[in-house]
Amino acid sequence: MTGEMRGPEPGAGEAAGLELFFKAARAQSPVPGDDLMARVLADAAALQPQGAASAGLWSRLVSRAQGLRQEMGGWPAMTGLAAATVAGIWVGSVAPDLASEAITGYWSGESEVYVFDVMAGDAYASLEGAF
Amino acid sequence: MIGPFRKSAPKGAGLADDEALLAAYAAGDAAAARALTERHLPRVLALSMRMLGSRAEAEDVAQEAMLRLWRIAPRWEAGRAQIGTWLYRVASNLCTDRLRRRCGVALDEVAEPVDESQMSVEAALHQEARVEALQEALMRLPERQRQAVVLRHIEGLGNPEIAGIMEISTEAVESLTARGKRALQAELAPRREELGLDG
Repeated sequence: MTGEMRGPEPGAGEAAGLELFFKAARAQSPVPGDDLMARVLADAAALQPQGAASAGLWSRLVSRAQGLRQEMGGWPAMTGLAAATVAGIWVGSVAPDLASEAITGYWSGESEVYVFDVMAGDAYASLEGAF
Repeated sequence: MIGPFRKSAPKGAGLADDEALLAAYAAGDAAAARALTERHLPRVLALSMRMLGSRAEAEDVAQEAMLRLWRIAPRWEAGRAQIGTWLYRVASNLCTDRLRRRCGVALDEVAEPVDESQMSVEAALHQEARVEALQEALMRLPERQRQAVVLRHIEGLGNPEIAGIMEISTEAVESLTARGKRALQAELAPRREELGLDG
């Protein structure tokens, strides 16, 4: 850059004189107003990367799943539920006729399997205020 | 007294903090954006104001520089540059663009009111007059000299950092600041008495 040749620094007295001006300028450094701060932060919010939003969604889903697991009784209950689900799928795929007959019999009344609720009496008693 | 632009924070720590904050912003942390804004916006605004001589224009430049930081956040390469230096460079280039588009020179809105509780009325008036005189003299300097002098003597940066911002050698920075100071001295010396510096 041809226009940027080196030259001598101002003398000590001159430099001290200029320093008074620089000092005054530093003492009056501008401070951003609330309006400018708000504009800059609004830009920041508008340009927040999309990946951050999806990461937030994923963490919310994980958190909700953990809450549901706790409400259902923790890992033992989840294990039992998973085992029952796998067993049902296995029965449905290995012996679909058996499953179909059982369901048909249940709905038609020809089945000899009876379903009864062992807790019915307790529930009734609870309603009556027995406990 | 350096005021809100004190450079006492260790540069290395600032670099690590800034990069961590920018990464946090990119990961969705809104508080990180506020921290970065509070740290860098005053400096960018001050540089822009001294380069342009207009608060309104300086605010637009400062906002635009910060906007570019938000845009680049997801692609920021750690360790490549200091965020503060990068922002100064962006703001400097934006100021240069504006100065080249300008027909005249605006000298309004130069200074903030001083805290007069700390000094006598006469001293406060002299201080304000010195700031205005300096700003007027700065605006008469060639743009690159003005930029180098402001960064070196008002913002308090080191020559290597200024060289990075201006994308020139350290020797060129020294040359620009020396010539800028000589020109300022020539401009301001006849006004010393008027500004309460003699007698």
